[in-house]
Formats: sequence, structure tokens, C-alpha cells
Amino acid sequence: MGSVSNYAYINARIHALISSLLTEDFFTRLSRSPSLEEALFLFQKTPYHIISKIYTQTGDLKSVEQALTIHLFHKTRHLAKHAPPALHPLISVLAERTEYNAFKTALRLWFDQSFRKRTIADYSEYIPREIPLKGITYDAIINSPDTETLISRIKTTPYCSAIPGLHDLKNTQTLLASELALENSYYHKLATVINTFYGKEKDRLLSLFADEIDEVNLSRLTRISHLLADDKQASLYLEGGFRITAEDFNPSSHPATDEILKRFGALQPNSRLEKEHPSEILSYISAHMHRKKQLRYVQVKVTSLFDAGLAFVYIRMCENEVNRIISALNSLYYMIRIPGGSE
Amino acid sequence: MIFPQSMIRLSAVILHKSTDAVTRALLNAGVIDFIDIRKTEFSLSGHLTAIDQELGNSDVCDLRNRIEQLLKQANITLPLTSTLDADSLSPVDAKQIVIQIETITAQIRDIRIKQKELQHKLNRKNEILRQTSLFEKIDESPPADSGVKIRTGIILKSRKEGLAKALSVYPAVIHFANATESEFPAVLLYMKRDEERISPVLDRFCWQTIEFPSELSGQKDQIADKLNSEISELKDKQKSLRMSAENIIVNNAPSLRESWKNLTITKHYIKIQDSFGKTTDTVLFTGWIPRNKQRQTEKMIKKATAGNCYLEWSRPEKDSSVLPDAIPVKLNHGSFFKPFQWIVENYSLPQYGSIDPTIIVAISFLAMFGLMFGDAGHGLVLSLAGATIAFANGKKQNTPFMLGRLIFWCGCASIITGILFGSYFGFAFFPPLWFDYHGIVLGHKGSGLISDVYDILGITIRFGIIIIGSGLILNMINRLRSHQYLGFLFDKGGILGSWFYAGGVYTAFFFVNSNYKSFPPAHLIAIAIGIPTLLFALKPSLEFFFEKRKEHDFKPALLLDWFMDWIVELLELFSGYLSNTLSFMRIAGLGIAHVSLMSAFFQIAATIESGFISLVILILGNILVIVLEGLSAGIQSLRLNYYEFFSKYFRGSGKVYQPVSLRRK
Repeated sequence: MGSVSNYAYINARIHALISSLLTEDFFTRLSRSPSLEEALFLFQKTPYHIISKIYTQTGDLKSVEQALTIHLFHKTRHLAKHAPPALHPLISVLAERTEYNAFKTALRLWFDQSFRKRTIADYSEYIPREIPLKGITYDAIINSPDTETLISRIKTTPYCSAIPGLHDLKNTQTLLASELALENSYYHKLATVINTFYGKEKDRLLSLFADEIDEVNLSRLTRISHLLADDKQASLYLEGGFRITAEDFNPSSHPATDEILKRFGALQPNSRLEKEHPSEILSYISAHMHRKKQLRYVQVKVTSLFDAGLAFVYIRMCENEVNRIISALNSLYYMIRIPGGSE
Repeated sequence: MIFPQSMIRLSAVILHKSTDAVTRALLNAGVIDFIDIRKTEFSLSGHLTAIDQELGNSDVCDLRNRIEQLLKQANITLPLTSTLDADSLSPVDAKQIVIQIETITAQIRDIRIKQKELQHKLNRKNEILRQTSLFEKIDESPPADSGVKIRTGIILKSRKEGLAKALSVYPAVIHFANATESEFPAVLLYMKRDEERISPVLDRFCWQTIEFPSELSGQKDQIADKLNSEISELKDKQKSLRMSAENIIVNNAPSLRESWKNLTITKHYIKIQDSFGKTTDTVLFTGWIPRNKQRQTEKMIKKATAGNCYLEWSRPEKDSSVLPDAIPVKLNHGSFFKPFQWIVENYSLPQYGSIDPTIIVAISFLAMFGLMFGDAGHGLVLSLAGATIAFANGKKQNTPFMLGRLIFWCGCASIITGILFGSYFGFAFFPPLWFDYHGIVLGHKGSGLISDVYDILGITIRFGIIIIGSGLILNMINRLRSHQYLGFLFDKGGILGSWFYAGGVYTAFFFVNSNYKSFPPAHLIAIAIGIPTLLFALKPSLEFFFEKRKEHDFKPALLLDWFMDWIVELLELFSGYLSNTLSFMRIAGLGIAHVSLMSAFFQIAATIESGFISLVILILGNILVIVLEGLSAGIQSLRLNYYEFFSKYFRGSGKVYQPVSLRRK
């Protein structure tokens, strides 16, 4: 691995693809759009031009989100087609995050329907069925009559890590344990693939991986840890990061806000965040990490000429782009609807 | 034509009351490239203030863009800005426009909400159709993981319509068989998840569950047809809603277009006034104008101010404080030269006052291309292709349009050289007017001045010498015009450099003509090469005394620096001119490759017995040569112009002339 012959073509291709990603200036214009209708029009000359058409045909933002998710899936699958065999396992695992998310969506729908006895009629149509699951169909998940049937259906699939959480569902009444287990299983899989690389290439991938794990751990620490009993918080820790340690999940030694900010290099003089809500700290650090990530991506773009770092960065940039579009469109949608009231 | 269009700078003082009239007049004329007067020598030490604007340019642009987006959504074309008239400008009622846009978007949003509800219904129908397609027959039990439930029963005739209506809100389909006297047997398909909602509905309409009726067995197709027809009905409704959203824009289009026109004029109007500065009673502005528009502009301003104005015209040639890079450049060539002007502009815009090489590029580019791609048949194909591309993009006046025109003229050059070389798709249908290129490359001894491949190489080297020589002359003209006399004398492209180059060329030709046996007499070499070589030694010291002495003191160590500068410059000069000249041999190289490729295809075709296959090979060979060689010849012509020719004299630091005009794109 790491040879010119392996990466010359795919990395040249990725460089070209990166240049077609949406710019910061575009996102600024998007967020400043006076209405959703006008915001969607901005996409007309971008690779996402189809979403404007979908919206005018359906008036349905959820259909737009579904199209974006499927677009992301096809984009990464297309990249895998052109990748050398040495890069296939890594691209497949990186791209699998979309698939895991789709599985989680189906699981949540099943949970809503079977456990909470809520209607899912308005949601089940938005499952991105074009993203195939491994060893199971979406219908088999959603239409499982009970937990036992669902467990028996997923036990031979890559999503079987969700099973312990499902066993305990009657007591917990939440999918949190299953979702965390799925996330853990995904990152273990990614770590395994990264460990098949050697030398500097492996170091670069591990460093990119560590950034991602740090964010996951931070999110769990700030958003989830307080929901769990003290003795269970340690299980939230995911290995592979630099900035958050297993010790931080010990309730008696949770790091202070300043300490977290410092570790992420986001400590500002006279920080206002001292007494703020954990979610605010998280979003502040996320924004900071996003800026750092952009810089890091630029650095990888320049230095990762003939290794797998560029593919890693590109796939994550694509995911990030789609997530940003979805959240920008949603915020525009609700900004418009909420003040109207009558709508 | 050989220099960019002459410019003149206008500085004007007008009265406050004339500001509007003058702005409108200037906008209609569209000839001034404005300079922000508050950043010039006329700023009156900061006493000039900006003209007050009710609306900022960004507000106007935002409104204009919003209207543009709305109109484009309904595929309504925007008015041409060239048809706008500044006199029709009226005050912009921004609030009113915002209200209109908001009203339209609110109306569209209401329709989108209806569309969304309809889409949900459509999604549900699609979902049940998809689920239905998972099993073969309707009387079969659905697969275990299917979300569909099938129920059969009978319903009273009087309740049939009511039940169908009540079920229509769910993703369900009900199919009735032929009625008995008072009842309908029916099969109902719905999603398992809706069981709790549908069961009460069935109870309310006294649904009686029965065994699967035989008459409904195997009627899956009818159920699918029913679903499909319901889906298509919903799609039609969806389409009509979409059209009604578009119609809202269409109905508002006339007023939106009027607002857009007014905003466009306002945008330009504000842009002009943004460069103005005002005192208590007067307004000042300044900018560059093509010299041939001076009288017309003066007349127009005087008319707008009823003569109450002060105009000052300054020619950049007479004002040494104006740097050439600050003067806007306008290249103005006729239609034939436009593709070549495009080539020059793609490299860079020449500095104001320096040579505009467009005409020379047109000649040299076509000559190089023709020599590399000398075949009348291939040239004809290129011309037709170029004309087609240009014609297809004629209205857009975009890059493909320019490229099409360039290809057309390159094709014409190939036709001419093809006739001179007697080559028509590789065949010699007519005798050559100059020499038989194909014959010579294939080893036949030619008659006349060109008898072998070396003679062809010789032609291209002579061609290169002419091009480089022209570059040197143009550089000397540029130096003289910009009063750089030291550069004129001692530059690599100045008198000494040219002398050295001419001496080198003379020596090389003398050596070749003597069959590589002798050089010119020593005294001639001394005159041709020795004297300029020695004179070059003076360059660093003269530069120091005339240009750098104010910045640095003389130190003895400088003598060593000057010596090294001299040696390095000589090495650069020798290797540079040698490689530049020999670089033109690529013209012959590509011409020879062109002939060789054609003859290779002829030989392949000749070895094949089947006439048809031979013909196919010849056609494919010609296509390959046209595409491959055409591209190579184009790239090499461009390279020779940009690198070997432009590097001798071109100063690409020009600033584009950008007048504020409604007619500009």
C-alpha cells in the first residue's frame, strides 16, 4: 500500500471531486436565504440541483433529505468503483456509516410502532431503501411483530451488536444502548481496517480516526453520560482518541468546561461558557473542531498525495456537506413556519 | 490596432442639482471606467464625502437576485440589460418590492404545504403498491416480513361508498367483486401498522369478515391497476399544484420584470455615484474614457448640466505621475481578430501603452498551425467543425464560440498550406504549389529549394528566427515608448541582445553553409559576438549608477557581483536564444509526424485485401490524425506564441477597462 501506482489515479480523481464540493461562501449564502424556496434555488448550479426539482414537485422537505442521503450513498459507492483493491475495504467501511444510520432509522421506526404504539405512516416512506442493508430488509425490521422476532432476524447480520440493548428494552424503554453498541461496532470495524495499513499511511489514518473518536467521546460525555447511572458511564468510552480519556467518564473526575476547551484547543480568554449548558459547550467545540477539520483537510489535501488519507477526508467531507445542507434547510423551514403560527 | 486603445482621464466638477441628470447621462453613455475620487489626488485632503444613497448597492442586488430567482423558477426570461434606458429610472420602493416577493413566496409556500400532504398520500399508495408486488397472488398469505395485511369480507351496498371514503385517508386499497342482491364481497389491503385505526372503521361500516371469496382469487392485477390509477390521479393533482405555484409567478411576472429592470438600472446608478465625492455645493468625479469618446462625453455632460460644469482632460502620456498599470486597457479589434484577442487576453492583458500583439499572434498562430497541419482535406473538416461549434454557440458569445471561430481559422490555414504541399486527406489529388511535403518525408528527393527533411527543418528555424526577431523589435519599441533607455540598450531583448542574437544567427548559418567546416573570419566574429559580449559587462555598473545608486553605496565587493552578473547573463543569453530558436523545430517535427501517421495508415490499408476494410482504416486513420494532430498543433502553436514570442516583449500587467454600462455583460 502507499504506492504511486495504487493511489495516483484515485487521488487525482478525489482532488477533482473535492473541487466540486460546496464552498463556505455558498453555505453563507444558503443560511442568509430569506426563504426555503429561494435557498433551494441556490442549488441549481451545484451537484445537488435535483433537490430543488424534488421540492418543487413534492413540497416535502423530508423527500429532499431522503434524496440527499441517497445521493451521498451513491457518491461514495461511485468512488469505491474507481478505487484500487487496496483501498476498497477502507472506502467500504467509511461509506458504511450511511448504511448504519439507515439501519438505526429503521430500528427507531420499529421501536415507535411496536413499543410506543405510535403511527409511523408518515415516516416509513422516507427510509432510504436504495441503501441496501446487509442480510436483512427494512421491511423485516419495521414489520417485526415483537422484540424476539426482530432479534432472531438481525442476529446473523453485521448489526447484531444491537441485540443486547434490545434484550433489555422492556426495562430501559429506550434504544440508546443498541444505538451506542451499533456506533461502537462501526468504529471497531473502522479501526480494524485502519490497522491493516502500515507506516506513515497508518499514522495519518489513525490521526484522522482519533479526531473523529474524540468528537464522539465528547458528545457522549456532554450529552449522554448524565442519563446513565454512575457505574455505567465508563461503558460510553470509545478507544482511539487523544483528547478524552476513559478516566473522564468516571463521574468523580468529569473534566471541567475549561479543561475540555483547553484539550480541544478552543479555550478563549474570558470564556463565557463556564456556566453554560453542556449542549452549548458541545456546539461551541463542534464549531471549533469543524474549523480545525477544514484546516486539517486542506493539509491532507496537499500532503496526502499517494496514500489513503485523502479518501478518508473526502468521504467525511461529503458526509459533512450533506449534513450541513440538511440542517441549513431545516432551520430555514422552521424559521419560516414557526413565526407564521397559522401555517 | 498595434497598441491598446488610447485613453484619456476625465475629472469633472458639477453642481449638486445636476448630479442625477449627469449620472443618468453617464449611465446611458456607458463609457467611463470610474475611479473612486475620494481615493485620488482630488480627495481634497479627505474633505470630499460620499453621495447619500437611500438604498445600498447590496440591498438593491439582494432584491434583484430574489426577483431573478423567482422568475427563473417559472422559466421566465430576464429582460436584456442592453435594452434598458437610464432615463426610465424611478425611485425604488424597496418595501413594496419586498412585500410583493414575500406575498408570492407565502402563496407558493401554501401550495407547497398542500403538495406535501398530497405527497404523503402518494407515498402511502406507493408503499402499499410496493408491498403488494412482493407476493404473487392476492389470495396468498403475505410474506412474514411484509407490512401488508389482507382482509376479505362483505359490505352492504349502501355502505360501500362511505367505507371507501373512510379508508381513503389510509395507505389502503379496497377492491369490490360483483355485487349480490344487497352486498359486495370485497378484499382490503392495508398496512399492518394501521390495524388499530382501520379495525374500528370496518366495524363502523358493519364489515363482515368471510373466507377468501373465490371470485376475488387471483385479482392482483386489478388491485394493482386500481392502485396505479389512484397513484396517477394523485400525481396529476400534484402536477397541477406545481403548475399553480408557477402560475403565481407567471401572473406576477410583468410587475416583477419591471421591478427587476428598475433595480438593474438603480444598481448601476448607485455604482456610478459610489465613486463620486461631494463638497457643500459641488460634486466631483473622475474616470478613464477611450480618447475617441472624449468629444461625445463632453457634449453629453455639458448638456446634462446646462453648461454648469468644469471638465479637465488629462492624457496619461503627459502626466508622469500616472503609472501605466493604473490605466485601463481596451483591445479593440475587428471580428476576424477576436479569437486571437481572446488568446492574448487568456495569457494576460498588455500594459497600457505597450504593444498589443493580437495581429501578430493571428499571423504567427495560423502560420505555425498551417505548417504543422498542412492538409487541405483535414483543414476543411476542421473548418466545418469550427464553424458548427461557433454557430451553435453564436448567441452566447462564450468560450466555445471563440474556440469554434479559432478552429475555423486554423482549418482555413491548413487548407492553404495543404494546397501549397499538395496534400488532400493524405492523397496528392493536385500537384503542390510549393513543395511535396509527403514525398520529401517519405524519402523522395524533391526539386527546387526544398529537397529533403533538413530543408524542412531549416524553414522552421528561419521561421523561428523571424518570430524571435519580431519579438526583439517589439521589445525595443516598448522600451522606447516607456522611456527605458538603459533597457532599450542593454536588455536581453534590447539593442545589445539583438546584436548578439543576430551575430549568433550569422555565425551559425555561415558554419552550416560551409558544410560544418568553418566559422566566419575572426574579425567578423569579434564584431558580431565579441563586441556585444564585452559591452554587456557594462550593464550592471550602468544600472548601478543610473538606477540603484540612490539606494546603495558603492562597495568594492560590487565589482565581483557585476562580474558574476555579466557571466550569468551571457550564459542565459546564449542558452536561452539557442533553445528558443531550436524550439521552432517542433513545427517541422509535428508536420513530419502528421505525414508519417498518414503514410502508416496508407500502408496498413494497402496490406489488406478487402477494399471496404481498407477504406474503413483510412477513414478512421484520418479521424485519428485530425483529432490528435489538430490538438497537438493547436497546443504547440499556443506554446510557441506564449513562451518563445511573448517572453521577448510582452508586459501583461494591464488592467481591464470596465465602464459602468447597461450594455456590458
